[in-house]
Amino acid sequence: MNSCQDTTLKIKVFGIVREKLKSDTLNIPINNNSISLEEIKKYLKEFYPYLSKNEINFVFAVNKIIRNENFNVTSSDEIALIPPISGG
Amino acid sequence: MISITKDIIDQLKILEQLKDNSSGAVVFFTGIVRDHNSKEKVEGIFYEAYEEMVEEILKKIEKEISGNWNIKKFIAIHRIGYLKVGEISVIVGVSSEHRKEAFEACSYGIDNIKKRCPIWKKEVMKSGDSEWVQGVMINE
Repeated sequence: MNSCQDTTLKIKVFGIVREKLKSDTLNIPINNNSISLEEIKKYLKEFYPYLSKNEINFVFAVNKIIRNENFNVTSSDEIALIPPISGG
Repeated sequence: MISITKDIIDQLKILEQLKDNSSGAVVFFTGIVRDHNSKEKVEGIFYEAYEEMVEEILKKIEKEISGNWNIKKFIAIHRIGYLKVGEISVIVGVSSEHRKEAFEACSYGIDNIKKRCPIWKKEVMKSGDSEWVQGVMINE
């Protein structure tokens, strides 16, 4: 990631992650038009030590669809971090 | 009808909505807050959802069911917020001409809600402790 930061991605978070990080949105500065989910994951694990713990697993939804880590997103996408689910 | 709601789920009202003069069967699955987990007594459960995504997935599940079984009506409602022991957290109801397709469609509905809907629950114990249920990775 370069030092020039001109856009912010907003990541929705839920459940135990929301509670541990005390926020329902995480902001990630980016300097390109797009960024891969893999890079986002790397950034989050670096800046939020809780997310780098081995027991925390998560995937991303982009515009309400689960995407794999080589998917690229822009600031206009709705991005959500999805930890293991337990509905019902 | 599919939805996420903060309101109490009224099973009798849903039965009336599912009934249809051309249907000979109505099958329900009703999920209820249990008073214990594997370790201790539970007082209630707090449910949280990524509501907009859950609604999208419920629509997909409804479409899959309508495409695979000859059913008349389908209802799936999941409640969020704090629920006490004994309260209904989720309901899936299907009406059809005969029972076989209603049972199968209902089973498919609840299985897929549990596997695919981004919903989380936190158990509140009688002791005052609380804990997020570990869960499974989303399979959508």
